[in-house]
Amino acid sequence: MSAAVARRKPRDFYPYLLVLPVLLVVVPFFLLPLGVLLRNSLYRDDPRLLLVPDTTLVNYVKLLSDSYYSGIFLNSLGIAFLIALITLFIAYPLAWYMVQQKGRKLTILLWCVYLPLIVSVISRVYGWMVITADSGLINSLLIWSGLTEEPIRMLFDPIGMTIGMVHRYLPLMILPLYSALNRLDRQVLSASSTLGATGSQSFFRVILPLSLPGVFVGVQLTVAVVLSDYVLPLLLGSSRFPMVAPAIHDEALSMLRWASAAAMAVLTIVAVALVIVASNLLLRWLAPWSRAK
Amino acid sequence: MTADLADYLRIEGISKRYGEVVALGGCSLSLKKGELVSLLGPSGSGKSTLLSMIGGLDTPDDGEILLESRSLLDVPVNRRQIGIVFQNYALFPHMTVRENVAYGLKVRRESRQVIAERCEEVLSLLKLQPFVDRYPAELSGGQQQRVAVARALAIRPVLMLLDEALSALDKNLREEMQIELSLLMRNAGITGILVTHDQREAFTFGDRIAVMNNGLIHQVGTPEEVYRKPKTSFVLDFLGSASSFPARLESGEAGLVAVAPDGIRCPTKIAGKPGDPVTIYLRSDSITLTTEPTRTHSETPGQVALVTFLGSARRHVVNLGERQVLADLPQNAMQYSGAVYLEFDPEHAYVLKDDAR
Amino acid sequence: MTRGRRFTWFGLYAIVVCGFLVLPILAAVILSFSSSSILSLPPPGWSLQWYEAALSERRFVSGFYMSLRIAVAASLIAGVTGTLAAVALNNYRFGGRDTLRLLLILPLIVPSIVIGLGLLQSYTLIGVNGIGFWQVTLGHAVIGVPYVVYLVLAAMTHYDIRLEKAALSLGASRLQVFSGITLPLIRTGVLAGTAFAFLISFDEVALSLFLTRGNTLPLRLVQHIQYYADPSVAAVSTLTTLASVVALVAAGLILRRGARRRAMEP
Repeated sequence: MSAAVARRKPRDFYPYLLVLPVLLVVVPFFLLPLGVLLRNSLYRDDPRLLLVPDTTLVNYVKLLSDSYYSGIFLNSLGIAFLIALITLFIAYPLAWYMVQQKGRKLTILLWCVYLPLIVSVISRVYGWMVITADSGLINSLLIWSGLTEEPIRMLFDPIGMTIGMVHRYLPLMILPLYSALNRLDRQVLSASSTLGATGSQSFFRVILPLSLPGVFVGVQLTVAVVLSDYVLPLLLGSSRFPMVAPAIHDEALSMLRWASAAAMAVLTIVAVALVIVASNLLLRWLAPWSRAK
Repeated sequence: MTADLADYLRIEGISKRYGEVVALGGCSLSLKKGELVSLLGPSGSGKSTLLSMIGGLDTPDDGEILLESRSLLDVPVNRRQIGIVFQNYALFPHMTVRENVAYGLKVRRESRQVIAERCEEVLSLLKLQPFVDRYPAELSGGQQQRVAVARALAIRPVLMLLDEALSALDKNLREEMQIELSLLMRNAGITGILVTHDQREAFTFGDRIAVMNNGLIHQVGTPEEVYRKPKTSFVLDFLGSASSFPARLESGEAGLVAVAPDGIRCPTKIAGKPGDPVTIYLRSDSITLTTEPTRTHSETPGQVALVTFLGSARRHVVNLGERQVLADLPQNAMQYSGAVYLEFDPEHAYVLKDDAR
Repeated sequence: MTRGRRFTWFGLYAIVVCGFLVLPILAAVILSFSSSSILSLPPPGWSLQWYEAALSERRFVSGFYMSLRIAVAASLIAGVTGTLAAVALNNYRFGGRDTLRLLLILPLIVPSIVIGLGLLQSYTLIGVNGIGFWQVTLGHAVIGVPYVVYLVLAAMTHYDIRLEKAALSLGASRLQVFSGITLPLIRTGVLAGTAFAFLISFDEVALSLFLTRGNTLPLRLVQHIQYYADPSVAAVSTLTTLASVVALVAAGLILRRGARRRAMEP
């Protein structure tokens, strides 16, 4: 009787025991800092003291009304969606091609896709600097072939930054697309052909709709990471086109406006969350069948 | 060779190999219009491969497929107008039942009215009206199966191919659908081929059966023909449970007799000479048991190892020499145990030469 | 016939995209052997001078060791805590399970610059120095946890919990079950996750900005690029790329052996 009860007890605590270590890491070093940021964002910056505990929304007001700050957010969101779109269009055909391959070809393709992810971002950025510099590969080719006389300014320019970002985040778009397209039931595609659909009919009526959830995952992921990118805007971008992450750094460490920086940080998280929630709603409206999963 | 004008579908010498493996080694079959044929065989026999050739999902290395004397091989998949029902139904998960059924008509750009009318027709034929706005994920297996059939029927196919289309259903539903499908297709005058590994399903559905194994068609005939007059040992063994006895031909009073160890004797009319190796096959439903030696089994008796009640018969497993013999006795007859002798009518036994595959 | 042509176009497209993906990495490698100090491609001549420069540059070397120590510590912490959490999430039902799952995904979505700023402000709040080894390591660990959890969960898709129950019924203790049954079966996921956490930490810039004195390798490289922009950075990046590739290949071999082994188990 009592033995049965005693044996049941350890069972109940065991999962909590397993979960405890990760909570000890994540709660104090992730959740609490987020809370601190939230609290600090409601304080005021003072040029003499660091933070003045004076609950106010003045930081948020500034961020949303001052054109410099709101410009930063709009820039970043704009670039994020642009990158997402560009990478989507580049990645989709490649992912579809990959789905048809097997064996060695597939391994090579996967290597090409994974390589940028395991190589340090600095290396990649440096490579792009080399390629887009005034004396770099692209300009050398253009001048050598006679297409232009003077080098085109790409480095430290939104164009170069965009190219670098497309490169950095392309694998991030390819992988979920590949995964989604791979999961398509081949027999469903055969059924479409046997019922009389041409290749493009099958694509627009069957493949595209069924891959939509994968597309959304890729876009959400890409927008979230582009918004938070620090290295690329710093090294490849231009000061005429400021982005969120370097701006937060400046605000906090150069200008020592901690409350304002905290507000920017909170706003960034909110922006990402909004994008994810809104796109999930959109997906549910476009693809009501995917709920059943 | 004059073309048989009554042949609606003619398959000639279709072969296919994948690397080293020969999937189909030269298959020929012909169907008349409105006929239903079952392709029966174990897994790996090539029956689904043959079906994909007909449907256009794969191309043969050799051979010809003619529909009303025109070759199908040049026609791409989406122009063949052949309705295929897949084993896992392959319904479009992102479309409702109605949209699934209408798909074939939509891609042909039929007018909205034609689509609506044809869909109504087919949906009511398969009793799917209550489900028209549901998604496949919300349907049961049986309902999904009907949608798959409806979708294939909607395009007014010249031929229907069903690839193990009923295998995923449970027994009662399956038997119901076998009959329903068969009636439906006969009423609509549709020519069809069903691929299955289940003997009863093949027999229920088809006017004729084509038995396949290892990429070859062993025999084509009506259910009764293939059951009672199997041409090869494979067909014999695959349809019904048969016990086999290696034997030799000897001369007897009225001709040749196949003689197996333990005194099993079976007079036979096959061509041959004394000394030829043959095999005697006895189906479990053609053996009875006695306690005394018989003309067909005279020397060493067998021992009853196990008796199971199968509902329709009482199956006796008899150990004879090194083999096990299955004898299905009527369920209301006496149950045997101990030493028994086999008794059978040579008319219902099969003696096959050992080179008959 | 048309089949053949479509194949070539698609294949060509794939080659172009793959080339694009590999290009900057190649560019950096080629430039690292350049004999000049200008960022020009193709380089005017070949030389190993930049490798010499990089390996003798005190800031790079010390940065490397700092990053190494942080990455090892952070990936171990993330590996252990993440694995335990993943096992709990996959095998047991408990209150707050879904919330935990969400919580463990969050560090992926929250920008690392935000986490870094938050940590700095939090440390300051409680009076601890914002800059320090453990301060930054735990930040890296937090970022690594989602990867570990994801990869271990992926390795558990074929995990049969009945094996645990069988072991328990035979008298094994919870610890024996975990070390003898659970861990070996998810080994590949744990290794992959920890390796990924390592790479992520080694490469982390934004978080380290706030919590170090700029003495991790990525930060040193960034500084160098901003002030000098000579190919010694290319040399360093080639070396780290080589190390990553070697590590990936080794990991791949281990994974394949793990899979083969699992296939042999009845």
